[in-house]
Amino acid sequence: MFNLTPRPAFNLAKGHFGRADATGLTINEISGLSIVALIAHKGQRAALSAEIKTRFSLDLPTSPRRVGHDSLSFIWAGPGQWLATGTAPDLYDQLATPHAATIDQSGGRALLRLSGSKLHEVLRKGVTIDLHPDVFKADDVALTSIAHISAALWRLDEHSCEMAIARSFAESFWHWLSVSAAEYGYEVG
Amino acid sequence: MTQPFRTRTGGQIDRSTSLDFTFDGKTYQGHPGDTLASALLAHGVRLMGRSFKYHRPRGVLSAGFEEPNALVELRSGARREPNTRATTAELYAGLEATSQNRFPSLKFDLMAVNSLAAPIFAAGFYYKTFMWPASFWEKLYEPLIRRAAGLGRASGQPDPDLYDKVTFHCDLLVIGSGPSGLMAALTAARSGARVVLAEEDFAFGGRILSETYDFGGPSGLDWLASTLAELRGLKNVTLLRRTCVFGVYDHGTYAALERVNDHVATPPAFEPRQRLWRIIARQSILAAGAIERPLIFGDNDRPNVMLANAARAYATRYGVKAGTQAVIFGNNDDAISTLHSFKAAGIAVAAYIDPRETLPDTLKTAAKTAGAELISGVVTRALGKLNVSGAEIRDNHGKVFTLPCDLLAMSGGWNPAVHLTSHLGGKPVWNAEKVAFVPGTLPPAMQVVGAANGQMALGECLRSGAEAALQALIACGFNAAAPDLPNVADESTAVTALWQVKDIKGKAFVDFQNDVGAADITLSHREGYRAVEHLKRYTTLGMATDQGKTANVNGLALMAEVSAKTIAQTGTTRFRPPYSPVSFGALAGIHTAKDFRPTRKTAGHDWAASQGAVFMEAGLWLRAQYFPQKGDTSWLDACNREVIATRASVGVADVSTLGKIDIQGKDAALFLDRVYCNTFSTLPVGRVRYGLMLREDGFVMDDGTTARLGPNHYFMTTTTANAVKVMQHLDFCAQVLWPELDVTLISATEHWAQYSVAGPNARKVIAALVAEDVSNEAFPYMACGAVTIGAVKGRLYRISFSGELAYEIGVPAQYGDALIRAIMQAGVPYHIHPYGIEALNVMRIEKGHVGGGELNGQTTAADLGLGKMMAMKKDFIGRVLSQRPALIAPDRQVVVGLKPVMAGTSFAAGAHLLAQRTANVAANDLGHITSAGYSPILGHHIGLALLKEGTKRMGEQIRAYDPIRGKETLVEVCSPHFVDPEGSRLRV
Repeated sequence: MFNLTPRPAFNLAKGHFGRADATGLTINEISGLSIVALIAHKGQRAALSAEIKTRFSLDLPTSPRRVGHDSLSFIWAGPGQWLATGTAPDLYDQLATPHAATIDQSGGRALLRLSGSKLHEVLRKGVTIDLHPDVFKADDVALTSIAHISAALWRLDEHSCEMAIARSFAESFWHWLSVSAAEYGYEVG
Repeated sequence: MTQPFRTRTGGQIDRSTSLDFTFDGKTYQGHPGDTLASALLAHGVRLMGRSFKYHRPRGVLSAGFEEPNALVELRSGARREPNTRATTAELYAGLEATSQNRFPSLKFDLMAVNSLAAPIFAAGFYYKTFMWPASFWEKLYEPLIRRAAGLGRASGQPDPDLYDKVTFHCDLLVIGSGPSGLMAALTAARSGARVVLAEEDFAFGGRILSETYDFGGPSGLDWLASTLAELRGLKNVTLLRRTCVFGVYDHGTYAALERVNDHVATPPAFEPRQRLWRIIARQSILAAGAIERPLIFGDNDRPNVMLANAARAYATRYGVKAGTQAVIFGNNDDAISTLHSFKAAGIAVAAYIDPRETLPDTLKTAAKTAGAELISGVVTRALGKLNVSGAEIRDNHGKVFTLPCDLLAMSGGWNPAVHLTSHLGGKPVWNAEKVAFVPGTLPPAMQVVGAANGQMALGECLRSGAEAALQALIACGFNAAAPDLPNVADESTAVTALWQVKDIKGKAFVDFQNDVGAADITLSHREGYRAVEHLKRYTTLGMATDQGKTANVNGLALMAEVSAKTIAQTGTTRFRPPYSPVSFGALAGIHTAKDFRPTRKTAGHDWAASQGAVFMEAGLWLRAQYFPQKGDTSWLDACNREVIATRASVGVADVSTLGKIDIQGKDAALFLDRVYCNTFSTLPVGRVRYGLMLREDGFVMDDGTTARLGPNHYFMTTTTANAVKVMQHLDFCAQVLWPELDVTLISATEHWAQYSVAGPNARKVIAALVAEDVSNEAFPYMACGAVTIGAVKGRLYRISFSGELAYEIGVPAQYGDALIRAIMQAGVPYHIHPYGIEALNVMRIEKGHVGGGELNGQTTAADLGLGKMMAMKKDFIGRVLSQRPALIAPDRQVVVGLKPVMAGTSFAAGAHLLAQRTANVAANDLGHITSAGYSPILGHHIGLALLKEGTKRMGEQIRAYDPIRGKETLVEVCSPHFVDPEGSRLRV
């Protein structure tokens, strides 16, 4: 019998990089989360929302927003579509519902948390949307493109955000992020 | 070394610090705040370049971005940058500059003989001279011209620096930081609006830096300092100096280039050299100022014949006397300021020459104070060669005389910098009173203020800046209050047009950079090139790095004169981005070389790399091509080994790159019946079926297998190449064609790491990995289902591309690395080999499976031998058009197998097929080889081909003609199923 060990998508070496005398950004890979896509079946959005509300006390967002907390959150992913992230290993089974297609995407997404005083300066090198904290607020979600790579991005607070990209792009994405953050100094935690 | 032409005090330079730099190998000193041009002038170095065509000696014309003459190569080695304007190159310690376009030296340039031949180098010279014979152009004329006429030299080496791009959103973008721009920015900033102030220069202030202004008590510089201090203290303001806004695009998008580290020898580690800004602004204010016009008289290009505002800037901003004895020639009241600044800097002024009959008293007083004689007349010719030595003057009574001078300052009036206003198609409008083109139709949400709008006086600038800012704020929904304006007097800005001094000797230049003279414009007119766009192409007026910033208006005024039209009728050429030259590096950013586009890697990539795999690109993906081993003489050895190992025992390939689409919903089965030409509603749960998808036009789009995981749940695979296209196609079908269907689609390509385990021993390897029963009875050919590998839930599909007993096993991608290692470990007893794309391809050709070469977008299902798959009783995409006469014609090219007739001969994909004893012409073409390879199992080359009436030609011997590789092979047409045609190996 074989025991398979998971491997994070970025699999980053920890340490301080770039400009030595400053840390403008701290980067953490979030691995081990369960990620499940939900797509409401035809005419089932209201029923799905009601079910999620009953079972998890969360209101599925109907605009590019995220609801929830570290242990379970729903990220808007398009009309009638969400990405659920959570710490429960059996999240995929938990979310099984007659109202929506559920698709395990735990292996398909690579997640990063970015925080620091230079968050905006780094992000604007790849993100073309308006990231001003008055415009892109906490828990706002953007489905956008960074360095020619599709990305979902949501703000946690003024100086931190999380993002999800397709796993196979991790190395190219890291090239963009590491080069972009280097002039401000960054820490991989 | 002393700086003999430096004033004792004054200027925006730091005299306490000295910077060493070199020009043509000689060391000089300057100060922080200097440009290369100002520092050279401080040493009396006035000869800075040679002209493009005639190699005439040239100095600086301007003190800014409009400079046509003083172009140098900056830096050395890989950082060497040609055509850098000395007038904008910020001085730094260790700056290396080299003059261009001269041989052997700047002072003695052999190519200056061109000047003697000037009559034959006139406009249209190249068109006229190098017309015949045509074959001479590429080999002889073009290299000759390029060598003689090129300006600087590119380094020819990879750029060692970093470039970076950012996107920035704001309420108001202010372009230019002179009095009007600063006033606009300040007004807007106080309201809390998000303001970007972009300044091309390395210092904010525009002409405040170069003029002596009274802002109603405080000096211009005092006002500048306090304004900048206030702006810097506001969080909603972004101040960008060294930043040129070079383009205006749709929807309030502006492009700007920030020269982050052009002012140092080498950028600090991790910092970009330049940064491209995409600024998205709700409103913009253009405050780009104006560019002074040269006057056109004989030999007006001699070094130290200079624009008057430039000489003022050198004196006032840089503390440099451009000369010791000046003559000023002008047609406007700006001369007052010039006379004052020369007097203040200690430059003696021999005379002020102006053709206007009446001059304001202020100008007369200024001339008197400066000790300058006032002459009503014109300068007809500049004397001297490497430096102007005197001015030949003709007064309004016709008397001609000369005055010695080493500086000739000229001013023909001002051209508002309207360029950005026409990037979206707006045409500048001629204003006869202002003797200038002013902005016409503006880009949406743009206002133009100050000198850029033809409002030349300081008071007008401040007022227009504040008013425009208020308008912009209202448009953005801010409450704004009008600011208190500094109390300044509006100086006189009167001007009378003087386009050309007549009856002169010597060459009178209009476009200095392109050596276009007044005579060339007359010639262009005579030869019929009269429209401004023709004039530009015929004479090269307004081309090259300066884009005619000092030349265009003079040029078209001359054209208007010779064609007896007004300037308004003559019009201008259209200004296009970029306003100022932009390096390719900045446009590319970090996306260069292998980072030009993203690369996708499978979860098993690192493992394959650790096995020495050679990778190839498949779209964005990298896939293992083959796994070389010691002793291999070529890739073919590896490929043969992998094929033999797989067919003899077991091999494993990473197939994660195949597209995977999860399809669910009550109508999922119906949906698939419509998008595939064959039927999927009848597929039992737990089974896989090969599917063929057609385009609407009836041709084959893609193929793959689809598994039924539940009554309303399918899992489709696509080819690697078409994964995105198929996903788009399905989304289109679901959203647009049949929105009534209850079906959901999502790509799951990224979630599953998947490996194909193939070969007679494949089951033993799989059985060692998974907990479930995988016996032939429990898990037959084309079965699929969930499996567990240790604690991980995966999926198993019994499908085969190689024709062997084979499985595809998938796990969530985070386990993909672990799974390939586990497979290899489980396969040790069976000598398992990993195999790459080459072996995979050989095995599928041996099996007769179609691939990319056959699925070329021009083949029908029948062409591929899959015609029977079309379930004509149901409707599906492509059904109707697949029955068009040409698509079912009996003489179509269809897929066949090929093998060489002679042992040991080979052929390659791409070779064309011809019958024996026919000529090698297109009319005889029967088709081409679509896939080819060496079969180590059969011991000879095999191929698949599209062959006209192929099914009738079985056993026929034809020729594979390959002119590209210079090869011809006699081949026999055969069945495409070379190995195990009955498929018995699949089902064991």
